[in-house]
Amino acid sequence: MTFLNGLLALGALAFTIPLTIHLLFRSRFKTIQWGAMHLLDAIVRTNQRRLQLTELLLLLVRCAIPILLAFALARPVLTGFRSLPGESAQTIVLAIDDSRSMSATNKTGQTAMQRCAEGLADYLSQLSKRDEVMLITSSQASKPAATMGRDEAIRRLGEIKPTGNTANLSMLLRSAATALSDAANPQRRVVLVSDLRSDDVTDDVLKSFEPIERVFAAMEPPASVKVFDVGDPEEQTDNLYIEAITADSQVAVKGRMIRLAARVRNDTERFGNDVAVTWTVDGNQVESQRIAVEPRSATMTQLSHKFDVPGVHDVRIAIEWPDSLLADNQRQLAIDVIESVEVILVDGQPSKKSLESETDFLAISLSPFGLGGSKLPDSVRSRTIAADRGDPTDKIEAEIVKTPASVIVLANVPEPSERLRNYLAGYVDRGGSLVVFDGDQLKPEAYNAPWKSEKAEYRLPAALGGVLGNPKQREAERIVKASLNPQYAAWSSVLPRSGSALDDVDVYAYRQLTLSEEEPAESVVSEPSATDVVTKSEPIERMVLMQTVTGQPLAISTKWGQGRMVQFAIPADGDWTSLPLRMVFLPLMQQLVIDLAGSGDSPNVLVGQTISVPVSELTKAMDSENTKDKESTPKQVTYSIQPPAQKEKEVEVSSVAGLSDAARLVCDSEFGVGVYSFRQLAKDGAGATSITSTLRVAEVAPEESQLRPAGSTRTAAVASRLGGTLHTDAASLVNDDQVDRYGREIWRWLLALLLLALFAEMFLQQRRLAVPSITGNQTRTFVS
Amino acid sequence: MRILDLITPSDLSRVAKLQALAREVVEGFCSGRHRSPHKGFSVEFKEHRPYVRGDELRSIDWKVYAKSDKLFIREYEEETNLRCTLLVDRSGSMAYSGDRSGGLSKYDYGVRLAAVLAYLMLSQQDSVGLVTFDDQPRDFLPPRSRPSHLREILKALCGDVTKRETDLGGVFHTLASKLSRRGLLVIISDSMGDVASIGKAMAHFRAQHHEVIFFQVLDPDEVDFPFTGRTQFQDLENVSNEQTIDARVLRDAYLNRLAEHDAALRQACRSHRVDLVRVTTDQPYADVLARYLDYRRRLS
Repeated sequence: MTFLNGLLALGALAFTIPLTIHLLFRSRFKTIQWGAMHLLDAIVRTNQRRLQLTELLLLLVRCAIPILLAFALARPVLTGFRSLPGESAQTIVLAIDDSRSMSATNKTGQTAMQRCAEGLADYLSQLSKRDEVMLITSSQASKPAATMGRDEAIRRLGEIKPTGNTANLSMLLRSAATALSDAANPQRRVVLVSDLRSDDVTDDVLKSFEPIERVFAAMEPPASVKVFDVGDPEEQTDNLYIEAITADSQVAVKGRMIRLAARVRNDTERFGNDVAVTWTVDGNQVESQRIAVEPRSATMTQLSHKFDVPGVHDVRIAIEWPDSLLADNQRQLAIDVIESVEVILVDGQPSKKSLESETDFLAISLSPFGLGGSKLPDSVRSRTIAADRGDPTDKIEAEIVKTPASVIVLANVPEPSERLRNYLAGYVDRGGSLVVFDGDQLKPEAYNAPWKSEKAEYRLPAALGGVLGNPKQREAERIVKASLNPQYAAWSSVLPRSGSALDDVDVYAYRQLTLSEEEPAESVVSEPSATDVVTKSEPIERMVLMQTVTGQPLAISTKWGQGRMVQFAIPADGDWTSLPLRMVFLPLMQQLVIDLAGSGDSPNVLVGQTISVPVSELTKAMDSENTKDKESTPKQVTYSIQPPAQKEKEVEVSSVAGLSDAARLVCDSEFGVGVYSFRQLAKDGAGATSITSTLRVAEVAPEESQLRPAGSTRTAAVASRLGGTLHTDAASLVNDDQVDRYGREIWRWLLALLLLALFAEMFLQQRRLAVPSITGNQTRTFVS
Repeated sequence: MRILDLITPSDLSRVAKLQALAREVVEGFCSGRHRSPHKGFSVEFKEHRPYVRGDELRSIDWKVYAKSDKLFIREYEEETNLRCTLLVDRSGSMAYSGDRSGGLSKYDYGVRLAAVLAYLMLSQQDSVGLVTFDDQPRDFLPPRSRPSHLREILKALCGDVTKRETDLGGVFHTLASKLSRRGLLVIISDSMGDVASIGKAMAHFRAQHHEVIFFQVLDPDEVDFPFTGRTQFQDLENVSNEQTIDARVLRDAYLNRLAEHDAALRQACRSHRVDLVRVTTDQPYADVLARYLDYRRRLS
């Protein structure tokens, strides 16, 4: 045991004062010649032991009072509680959850991040200057921890912006463990700071803590863990937010209407009446609405908009509603707008007769205005190549060289050669799209063969089998009823509010497709991402777009490299089905082609993910501007990125592995929610400068808006699984640290004992003493 | 020794006023509640005095008138059958004198009370005797009705306390055998002794048809125990016995013990039809006596 104010402990000698008084009191007494000794003797005899005991107790208590007071003032510290050498330097890793939910305010208007910064500032200010601090935030957990001193750490804590995506606490702690392995000091500890929402502390997350705890325990000496819960467990979640914003297609065509929908969720007990909603496109307000959202429910609001300029556009929706988390009152979505879609139709059964060719219905549905003689622009321009004689590979290649196409459609092509398959596989691998329609002259073995690109070998998502039904009995009753997958966003606009879009479609025959159980033989192995610690790898991007009521697939989509391919079990003409004869065929094909024509890279990412923009996207834009002056060739090209609320910075072009011909601009969306602008600055020989730009939008997962606290049980489980201690306020954290380093201060206990001693003294004194009350003129006479 | 050596003139004048009251009480003893077994009154000639208007004619001594031709009234000395014996405790405990008693010890107070009673009785031509005692009887003056007997009583009362222990029960039993003729016994004591033996002694007195009045004389200090701080109590009856205690600590216990003692004494007196009068030395004895006599008069 040590004392913080050792000199004051000498005050304990004051115990001699009551002792001296007691001894003096015993030696000094007055003598009375007493008559009623007959009465006094008896009570002295009876009470002697009790009196002596009381006297002794009183003396002890009175001596203890100055001793306790002196010791309390001297602030003794019990070093038996110490788990760390007090003065030795230590390394502290601050693992901080900087997700969006940390910006939620409590009743006092203070955000969880502010509580975190203030609490940790108190905690860090107790450290010595020799201590080392490492700072890791959940949004940058995959990056090496920054090492700094106490004061710098306090400064940086104030600069952390809670704009990150949902915190992966396991990964955060693993990063902390990694950082500790590089610690300069042997004494190590981790302080995990989070608001610990229910979504942060799932069963899987708690389970994932066990191996991490073993890592901490295996360190020599073991690293101690402190969990600082800055959330308010008593706080009621009060949040009205935009849960999602979706478009009916990943891409939009210039001049064509696209429908956008946003889901507004009211996670409060209040009625969200008259909530102002504002839609903004590229910073310009396009529509303002007022909606009502019932408590604990969601409502949809929609916007139909037509983009006039190709490129990636920023669509933003914002609501005005005072709640505890304002950051999620707006949400953004990037929409890729394309000029028009070039489609090459490879006709395996061409005909000079109208509507006899395999691709006639398809051509009409894709370019209805052009073929109908209308002056209105078509969003899709199609070219047809006959494939009934020989290998059409050269023709396709020539057409693509002439005008690049986004989508190639094989319609009833009987037997694609290996060259054609390999060419098309490479085409899709680089970002193009392929659609395969079935037909009566199709040879399944040729399609089931491998499709080899330069980098990978692919197979169709479903193996082709025999034809079910009899296509020649067209008058017979249809054998199946088809339905569309409502999960496919591109066709969602086609779906009626009730019933099926394909109610009047007859299917007389279709190819039996057998979905392969194995994953596609991808040879491009992506680097393991940071989120692999808790999330499973990406599922196969295979989706059944259309199926029979019995579940047999009629159209399947899958991803091949950077592009996609769609396989139909029915032909594009009316031989096996009446679908091409129905009005719904037109929007179905148009939406499908537009969706496939969109770049394989989504312009929307979650905060924290890496943004990768192909340079070709900027180059294409410049090419389209320079078509008027083809002689101007850029001599010097520079690229820059401007993250949200940041200055523009110049970047170098990097190349992603396996895509040597597709240079990309890579940037981590570490600056939070918002628009990340990518620019290309090209100077030609004459000194003229041309600038092209594109953008990406980073958003936070809607789960971050669910502010429901994890609850005391789960919160305690976090600390127990990590073998650490749980703290809900800074004082507790600081006190625990002091105990760990120097031992437990017991002055409060001594103060309590002092108060107890004072009460005991009063009690004993009152019990022992009775103040005599002598009243004069009392009549002492009585008569029996 | 004169009565005025013990009693102030003012007190004596107040006591004189009690004579009429005392007479009624005494008559109550004799012919009231305690009817005498002897019949009639004995009348003894005392003196002649000249007739004055208003005297009864039957009191005129006609024989003297025949001889001297002057009217004289024949007066008789009345003789009652009241024999009062004062039993005064002069043990060591009676020597206690507190601050509030004006320097008067319990014995001093008892002496004055006894003197007043003797004076009162003798002035009514009653016989008054005196016994002083500690652990045994010391002075014994049998009851006499002569006025000169007062001087003897006062002389006996002027002795000091003996510093001996009290044995009320033993003494009373001894006296009971000596006081064989019935009469009024007035005990003046602080009753610091075994109450059970006192009770038995009372029973002994009562068996001999004595009327008993017990004046329990206490000092105010003994009633409320006002002492504070560390105090050494030295026994007035036994010098070797001393107790050093914190007086305030034992005050409640002492008062409880005193209450128990009083209750026991009261019970003993009630059961033997003994009048118990508790007095403290800070009270004027004349007042105490007046209140008691008034009480007895109203009772009879």
